[in-house]
Amino acid sequence: MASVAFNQVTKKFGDTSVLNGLDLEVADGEFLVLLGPSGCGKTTALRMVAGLETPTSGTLTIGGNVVNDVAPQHRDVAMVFQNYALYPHLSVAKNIEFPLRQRDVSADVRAKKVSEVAAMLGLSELLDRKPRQLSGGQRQRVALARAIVREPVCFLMDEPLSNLDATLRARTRSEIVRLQHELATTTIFVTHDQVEAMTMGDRIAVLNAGDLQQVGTPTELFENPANVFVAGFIGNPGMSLLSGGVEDSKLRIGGTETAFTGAGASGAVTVGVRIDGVQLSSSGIAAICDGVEVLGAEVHVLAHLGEDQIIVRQVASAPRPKIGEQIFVELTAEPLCFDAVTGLRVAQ
Amino acid sequence: MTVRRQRRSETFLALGLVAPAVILLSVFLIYPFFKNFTLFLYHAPPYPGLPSKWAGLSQFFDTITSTSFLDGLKATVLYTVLVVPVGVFLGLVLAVAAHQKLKGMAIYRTIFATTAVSSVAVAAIVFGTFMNPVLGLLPWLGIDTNPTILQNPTWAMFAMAIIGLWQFIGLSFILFSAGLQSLPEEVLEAAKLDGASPAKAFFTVTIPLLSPTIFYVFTVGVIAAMFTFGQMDLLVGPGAASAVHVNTLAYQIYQYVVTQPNPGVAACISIALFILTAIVTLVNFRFLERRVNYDA
Repeated sequence: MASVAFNQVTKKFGDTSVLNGLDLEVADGEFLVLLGPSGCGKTTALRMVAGLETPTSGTLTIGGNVVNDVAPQHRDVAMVFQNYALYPHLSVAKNIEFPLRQRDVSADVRAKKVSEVAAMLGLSELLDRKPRQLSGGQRQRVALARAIVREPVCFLMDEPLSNLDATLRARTRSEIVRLQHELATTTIFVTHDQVEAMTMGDRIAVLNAGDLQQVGTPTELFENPANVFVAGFIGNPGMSLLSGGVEDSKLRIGGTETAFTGAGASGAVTVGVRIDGVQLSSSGIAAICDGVEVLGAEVHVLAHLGEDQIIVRQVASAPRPKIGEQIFVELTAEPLCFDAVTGLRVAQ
Repeated sequence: MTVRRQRRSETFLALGLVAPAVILLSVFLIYPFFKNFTLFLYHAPPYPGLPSKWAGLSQFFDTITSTSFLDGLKATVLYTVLVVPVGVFLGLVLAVAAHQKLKGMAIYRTIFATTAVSSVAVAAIVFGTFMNPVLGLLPWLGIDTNPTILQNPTWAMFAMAIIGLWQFIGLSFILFSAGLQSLPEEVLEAAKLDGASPAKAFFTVTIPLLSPTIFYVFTVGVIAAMFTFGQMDLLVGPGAASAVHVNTLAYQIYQYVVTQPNPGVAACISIALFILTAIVTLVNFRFLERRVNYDA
């Protein structure tokens, strides 16, 4: 087990900057999720830990040792790839034992370890099969087994669940979390799915356009987003972000003023409203209904105020507004405020 | 338009589209292939225009048991053995070298691939000049060749093989380069992370994943080598080919059609070569394809 640290790490491909001075520490035994949209640099960051990419500048340490120039085979990290990257010509057993063979582990020990890991992941019956004879979920488990069997100092997982169907993804998610807790191995997990990030990570590092936006526990990120990007990205759905202004302890949104006690906010702000902090009402902030999403027990009403979008929850049995109809919403909890220019959270 | 009429017009369109290919294949491939089977059953007339004489299978058996055929068979096999394994190996080595992400590799790739698109005439002239006893590379290096390489029964076949090898390496290189580029990058990266050294990763992952390409290059190389006669004709000629043991079966067919016309014997040799090629290809499939992994 080992900690991993990025110290002012940048990565450029030609003139394109993919990571801009990343500072991030992953504690020994921690499960850290790198979360962000496509092209934000999360996979590049992971590949740098693996040694598959070299930082343009800055230092990367594993277990306190600078590894910028250390070859992947000497880093003692294991990676689970998005497409599993199993050796197609080898059986499941030979795939799992491959890393042990490279380290000249004796045949007896290899057989014992393969059998232990296969039992742990429910692969014992599949050891003689080739990867093409396995389902997506089984292949994923073989990839995990291959990573686990060599007891590396760090697991790197690059969107390993994205090729699985929804049911299997949910099951594999909890399986990975359970295994990580059992093994207590430092894990860096890359995903663009905030539900995965929220349910799996001890901490989440949110990246956007090569910049680290915020690092924190899922609850911290959900309750106290550092900027509008995190506010809009975290949560399902993310915060509704509305243009507004604060003056004399009053919050103005769409021409409607409400009492506001938040300290530090004044002038033009972006108001962040969680779906739990707003409801339909007979008066209040006027908006135009854009559509209704039926989710079973509840309904999400999508509306717009000028350029801004807002989502309001409604019980399924309530009468649903029609598209284009004017609705009114009222805030039921104090919203968060962000600087209208920088997008950074205003102290409250 | 009714459905029936539409179907009919689609059928005509389909026939019209395949017609050029069918005509070309029929004229240049299918007709000559079957014509061969009628030619080999008849003795060619001593003068064109006279009727052919029925020979049955006797002409075929006489031909394939003749000394010249057996010498040609030896020459063909020796040429194939000299060219194909080395060509496969060197093509792979060059493709792996050119696959490295280094500056200027595009230039090397172009140079390596050029030999595949050079005609045998160009290759023969280039190597013929190198091997020229007066103006060539060897006298320049101070090596006196007497008799000349192309007149030497021991070395003439090696000279032919070097020319064939030079041409085959280009094709082998192109096919291996394409094969290497199509390998799943993630699997090779996984091997690195699993602790495999570059050499181990090459032998335990790259080679097995590349096995379909290796098998294909080998099979195509064997078939092409068995039909080679260009450099023999351009550098040695029909008069000396037998004496220096480069009178391959394909060259004998050419001679029996062009220089000393005897279509019956030419057909017999071509059918024997066809059978031989088919057997070698089947053996390749039977014994080598077992080791090929198509799962990549």
